[in-house]
Amino acid sequence: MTTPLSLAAMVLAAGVWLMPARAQEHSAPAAGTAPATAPATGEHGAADAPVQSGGDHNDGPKEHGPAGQGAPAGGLHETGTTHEAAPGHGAEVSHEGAGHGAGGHEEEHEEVSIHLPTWLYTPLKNFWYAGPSTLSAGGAVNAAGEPIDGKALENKTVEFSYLDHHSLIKPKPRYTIHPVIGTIGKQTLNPGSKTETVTIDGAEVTLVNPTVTFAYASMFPELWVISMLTALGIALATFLMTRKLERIPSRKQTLLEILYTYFDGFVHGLIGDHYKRYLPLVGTIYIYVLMMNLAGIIPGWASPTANINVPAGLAIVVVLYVQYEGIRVNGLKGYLMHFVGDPWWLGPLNFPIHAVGEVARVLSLTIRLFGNIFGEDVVIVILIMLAGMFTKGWFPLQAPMYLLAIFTSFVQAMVFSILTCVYIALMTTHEEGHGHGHGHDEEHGVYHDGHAPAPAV
Amino acid sequence: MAGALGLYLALLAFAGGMGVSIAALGAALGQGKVGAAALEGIARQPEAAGRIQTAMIIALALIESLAIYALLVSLIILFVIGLPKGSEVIQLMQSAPR
Repeated sequence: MTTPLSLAAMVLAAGVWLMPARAQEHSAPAAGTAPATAPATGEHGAADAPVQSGGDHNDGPKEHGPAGQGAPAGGLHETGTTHEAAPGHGAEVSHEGAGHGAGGHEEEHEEVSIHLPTWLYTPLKNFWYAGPSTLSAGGAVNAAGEPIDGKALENKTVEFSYLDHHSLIKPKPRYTIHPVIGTIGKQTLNPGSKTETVTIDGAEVTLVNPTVTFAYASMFPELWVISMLTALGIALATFLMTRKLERIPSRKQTLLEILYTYFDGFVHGLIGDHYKRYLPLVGTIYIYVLMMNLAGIIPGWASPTANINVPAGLAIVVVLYVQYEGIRVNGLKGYLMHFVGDPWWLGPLNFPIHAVGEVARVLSLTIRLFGNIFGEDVVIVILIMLAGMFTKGWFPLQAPMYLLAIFTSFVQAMVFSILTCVYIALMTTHEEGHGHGHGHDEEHGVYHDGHAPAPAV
Repeated sequence: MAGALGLYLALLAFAGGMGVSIAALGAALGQGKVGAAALEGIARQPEAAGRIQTAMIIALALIESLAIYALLVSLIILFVIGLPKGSEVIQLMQSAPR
């Protein structure tokens, strides 16, 4: 078992797990999430972090302790100071949370992770910077210091010298780009806000808290890339493992068979004899959610499930599918009677309660999965920041949290798929009619079904 | 004016912290009961351990999700309301008439 390859893999995994907090700072959170409301939001696409004038990138290091720190809190730090610019506050939450999202992929991150070589990133950046970009700002003042109305400046193309402050090259390079001016707010010059001066129509305009968004970089948000990669990876792995199925299984096939038998057993126990139809959905949800949760542990990646949109999408799909199955199995009348409940004359009371319950299921599924995974990410980020403050970034204070994150990933994936089974079971058991009181605790509903509980596998 | 703004920030910070604490208290009590019941069930009938454990994990996750709702509200208070507006408020406080 301890072949050289597996030994090397174990050493690598241990190294990743115990990676000093300092090394994580490069892959600090900037990762994908919340829908960008304005182009100025520093959400993920590359380089839309605020442009700093001159070299005051690390201003405000006081909250981060020693100067060598930079940012684990690079994301944290940025959010702290860019909120003035970015109208999209939701993005800040995600900044904290996505933990170590960042530069793992060439398509999106401006945060160069320590794993990506500059020779790959630099041409990519040149490609991005040559493309269309948008320059937004919190406010604009003219040379005399009086605020200018932003509307007059919109959609003008200017020449701008963009400082790539996430680059690892020293000194940080400046690129000349030609962005189009986007929305400009109404902020005035406050002490401590960042400014950049551009020339528009011959007049000098000072932009307060400017941010740049690059169109090409934001076309491939990290969220999308990682979840697609996860899905493709699962599909590819399963495809390759099922090429030569034999009656006497090989070791790979045995692994797959163990997984399949496990799912088969627990779905059968929860749903009942008509479970075969739902097995693919439940199994897919389990494996997909599990892999997406675990993706956050890979350095440089972030869990797509740490963004509220991904669990929301899954929850909506599940609940809509359950309604569809309810109508398909019970007929439209039966489906509505299910809402009306047992004594029909309590219908007007029961119907809204059940309907709201269905909607609440979407919310609870979403928030449970999102909150757990995002919360783990936040904890890890904060521990990295703490490690930076007190130990100059060398001590892997975040290491125990990774173990909890792995455990939580498994548990949350399992809970999501079990709840899917339970909702399906509640909607499609028609043998007993509505004899079993559908209380609002699913456990009750499951065991009153008249089916044997999950067989001990 | 500065006093009121200071109170606003202080209350925001307090709410952000207390929200999760109280929810965690309630969730811990509930989950303790679930765990105790599950352990008792397993002690009575060790061969049912697998099924009991599955049911226990489901119940734990459901109870925990309530604490997670509180965590979410806390995060919103701290990062969406507190953090962006916080430093603006501080600037206002510093320039406000005493």
